[in-house]
Amino acid sequence: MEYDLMIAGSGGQGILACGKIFAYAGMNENLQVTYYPSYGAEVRGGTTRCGVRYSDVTIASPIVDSADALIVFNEPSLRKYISYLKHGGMLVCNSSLVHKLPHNGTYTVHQVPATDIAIELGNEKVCNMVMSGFFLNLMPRISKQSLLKAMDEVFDDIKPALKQLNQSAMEKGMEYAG
Amino acid sequence: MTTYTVPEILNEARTHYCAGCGHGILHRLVAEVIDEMGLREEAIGVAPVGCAVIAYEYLNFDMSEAAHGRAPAVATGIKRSLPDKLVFTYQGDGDLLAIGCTELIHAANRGENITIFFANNNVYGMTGGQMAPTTLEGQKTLTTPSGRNIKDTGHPIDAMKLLENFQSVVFLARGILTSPKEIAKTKSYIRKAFEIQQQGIGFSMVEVLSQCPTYWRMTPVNALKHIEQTVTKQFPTGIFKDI
Amino acid sequence: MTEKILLCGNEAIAEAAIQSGCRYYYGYPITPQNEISAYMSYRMPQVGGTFIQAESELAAINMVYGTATTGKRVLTSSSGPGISLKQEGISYLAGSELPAVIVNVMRAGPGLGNITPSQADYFQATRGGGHGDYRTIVLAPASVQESADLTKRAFVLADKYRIPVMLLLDGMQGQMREPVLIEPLKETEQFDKSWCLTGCKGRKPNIARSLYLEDKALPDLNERLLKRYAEIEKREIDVDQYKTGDADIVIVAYGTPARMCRSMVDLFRKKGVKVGLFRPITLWPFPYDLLEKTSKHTQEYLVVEWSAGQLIEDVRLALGKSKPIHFHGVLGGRLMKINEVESKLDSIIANMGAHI
Repeated sequence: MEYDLMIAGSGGQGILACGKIFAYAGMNENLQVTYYPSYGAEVRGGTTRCGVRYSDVTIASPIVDSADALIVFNEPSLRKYISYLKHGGMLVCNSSLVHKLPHNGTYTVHQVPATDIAIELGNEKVCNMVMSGFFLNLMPRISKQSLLKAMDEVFDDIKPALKQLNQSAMEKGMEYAG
Repeated sequence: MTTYTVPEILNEARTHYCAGCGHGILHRLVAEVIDEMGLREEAIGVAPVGCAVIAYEYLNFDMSEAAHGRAPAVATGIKRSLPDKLVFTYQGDGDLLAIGCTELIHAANRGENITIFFANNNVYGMTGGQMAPTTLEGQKTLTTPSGRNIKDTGHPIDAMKLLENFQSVVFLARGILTSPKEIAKTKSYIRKAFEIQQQGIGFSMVEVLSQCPTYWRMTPVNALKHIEQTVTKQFPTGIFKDI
Repeated sequence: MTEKILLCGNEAIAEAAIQSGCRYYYGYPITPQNEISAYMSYRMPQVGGTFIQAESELAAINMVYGTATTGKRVLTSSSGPGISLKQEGISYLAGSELPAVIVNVMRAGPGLGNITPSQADYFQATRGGGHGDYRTIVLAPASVQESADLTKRAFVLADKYRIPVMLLLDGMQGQMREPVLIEPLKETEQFDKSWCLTGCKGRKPNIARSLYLEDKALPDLNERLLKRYAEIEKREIDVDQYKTGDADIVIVAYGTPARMCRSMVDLFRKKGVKVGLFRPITLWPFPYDLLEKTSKHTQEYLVVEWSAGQLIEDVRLALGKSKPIHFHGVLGGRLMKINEVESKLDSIIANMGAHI
């Protein structure tokens, strides 16, 4: 089994945390896994991305250049990284911020208004957890249990209220996927 | 009558210093104080790059060299590893205030519990008598042949003024070695600085205006007069900070 | 730590240092190794250690020198431009025969370059970027787990030979996260610490020095160092050879490129081409003899590195002109992609003709 995931959005949207959670979750499933972030000079704004690779065997390179799934949090990152999605891959969009989809794509598209759902929950920042939950239902090898454990491992130092909010956001995302 | 002998803390070596140089006296003062405090076996000194580079040939306890200017960083590493030892650096004006100014300022600002002895003789001795950060206005050196021009080279840097506003600096004093009375006063500064370190209070520094007859082109006696009459005008003596 | 956790290479090095008994870290911020100092800033206080964010790389390496004189395990880390600044101190550590571990997480240069991964500091690391006749042991991991394991080895080698040891990683290894298990270092050797500065109670004073003005004293030091370096060359060479035993083509690479090339070995073997990977783990001492041995059966060599051609010089030293040595170098500022290596191998094979 080999599965490559790319997550992209703007700096500050929790892209890297989302990637770390999926990497941790893969580890919890006893898969070989690598996580590699883009790291630029800008701290906020701009586009940021990370790649997570899963495999049953040793992973040669952590670079994702032909992703099985591309998760985009906003439109600029969709435009910038759509070429990294392989033919027949899966595009997962935050439809609150992505309005224009490319024509004639050779991939399946899944949309969730993650920012709107996060705002309804009272904190726009948990958009990444909504996206995570939504994607979880589309990703066969990661169980909910592994993802929850991964969230604890990545956010090991947060207040109980925020932990609860993250979990609710993740579950809302899962529900939306149905 | 007092007879001066070589204490255990000083090696019976002839120093390489020029006739009339202040380093020999300052070495002895530091050594005597350590001896009187019974701390020879607890002391770790850091030698500079400059005339005192082989101070460890004369001082009979554990010592380290340091790259030029980096003695406060080396001392930081030693003191953090062995907080109970008496750790000091012994540095000249080029080492401390030119190439090592950054290390000095930041060790002082961190309040490292170390002591710095600063031998300020207004000139680079080891390399042949070039301008130092503390060279006086108008002073002739190898690289200021017409005398130091402050418009071109800046003013002499006053280490006491530089450091006194740092909140973590605990003790600052400047002494001279021109007479038994002044030497005794300078020795009391050295002792105070070490006592402060022993109490763990923080950063201490004693500057000593030291004579360099060779590169001042003076006799040893005139060099002492020069310190009393001229150098102390630029660099006044006394205690500048004592918290 | 007794279970696997997901760490980036930088954090793995930091934790492995803690697990090796290192309680002193001094560093100055520079990308892409900032996770090391961030990690140490909270981890050192937890274990009663010392963390100082130094005022510069110069200060940091000299704090390292200070702690090294006391015989305690000490770590610093940086990237290219900062390592250049540390070179003075590394030379002094070597001259004063002091153990210390220095991490270089390489970014692209020259000059300020940029922060993307690179391997362009190979010369600086293996030739000794500082002044004087000296060597540092250079270890090159290729995974997060190996970064942790070699960190532990680095501390042991430093103590054993009283020598600065450098861990050389490309920025991708520093940033990449993988599951890693970091157990405490099992100490198997006792090291002589009679030379340390500890206060001269009951013994003659010890001096940490690299200045030798007396007649013959400096040649004596240099001869002592040379002997030690010869001993290290004899005992400590390490290389990972993957299917080189019968290989017609051997790829030579270290770090992340080596990882990528390993998958090429499997790919081309499936196609029926005997490819092998020769991955030096010690860049100094370099495994010249072991590489030369492969030339008895290997026809062609391919050097893959993230620089304009530095590792290849050691490969040439090992092989001379006996066999063709091909080169695929990716310049700093650009990511290396596996399919580039595949194309390069395809073209080598096409030109080799019928003999495989």
